[in-house]
Amino acid sequence: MDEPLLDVGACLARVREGDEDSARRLLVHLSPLVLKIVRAHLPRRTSEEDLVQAVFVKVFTRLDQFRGQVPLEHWVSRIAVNTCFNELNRERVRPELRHADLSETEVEVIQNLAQDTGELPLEQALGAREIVDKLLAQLNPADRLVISLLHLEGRSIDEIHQRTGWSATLVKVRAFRARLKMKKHLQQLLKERTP
Amino acid sequence: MKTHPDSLDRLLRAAAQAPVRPLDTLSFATESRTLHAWRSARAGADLRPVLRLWHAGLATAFGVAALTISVSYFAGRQADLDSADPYTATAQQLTVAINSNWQP
Repeated sequence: MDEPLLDVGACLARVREGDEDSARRLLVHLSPLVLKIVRAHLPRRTSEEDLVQAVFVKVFTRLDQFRGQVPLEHWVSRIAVNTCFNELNRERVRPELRHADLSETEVEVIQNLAQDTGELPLEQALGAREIVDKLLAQLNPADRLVISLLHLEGRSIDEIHQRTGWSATLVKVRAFRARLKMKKHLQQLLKERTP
Repeated sequence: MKTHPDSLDRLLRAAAQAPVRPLDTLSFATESRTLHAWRSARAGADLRPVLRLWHAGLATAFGVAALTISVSYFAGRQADLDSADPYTATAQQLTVAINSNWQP
């Protein structure tokens, strides 16, 4: 059964008064958004559930700070992105990426990238995603976040600015630098490939 | 070896098309833990005025105690000074001198 449309304003008011039922409904309403963001930016060694909980605790404890100048979803997105970013910052060890560590599917993607100039077939999308995740793991958290938002989620520069609070110029510069680093690592993988 | 300059773009475009794991709802455990954390935070917020009052009371008590100690210290000192006026001191010295050096 579909959840009836939630009157966010009224629900927020009740949550602020301490109504637990409204808090539960708000949690259910926001959970797809938070889950999506957390999954997209989840650090390797962090549990998804723990990070989701951390985001929600921040959202609920800061509800008094929400002034309603932006939609609630934007405000929550920003908290979620920043929580993930802080968690990524804690993850300092970045394992070196070697061709020998790639799975069979990933090796096929690399072969395809090296031999062909066309788009990768759709059935290799998952393998491509795995390689991109490994390349992203080589980057610092800020660069990783920008590439994920820009290229994997298809967000515009303005949307990234709104979610992260970084200026549009900073977003562009970070994306440019991150792409350079990713290219370097990818070319290394292509070079190590056995012909 | 030849590497195509747009390899990264092709890789990223393909990765963006990767099927996304369907979004399930929050587990009951996460939901309960989150609501519990919210309740605890609220309880902490409710106690904040009481704690503030407690801190203010404690600070006032310390202030009053410090003031009392310093007032009694200075009062005692003043009493000592008063008792040690020049006449009394000279009289005491004379008494000691007379008692110790008196030769009939």
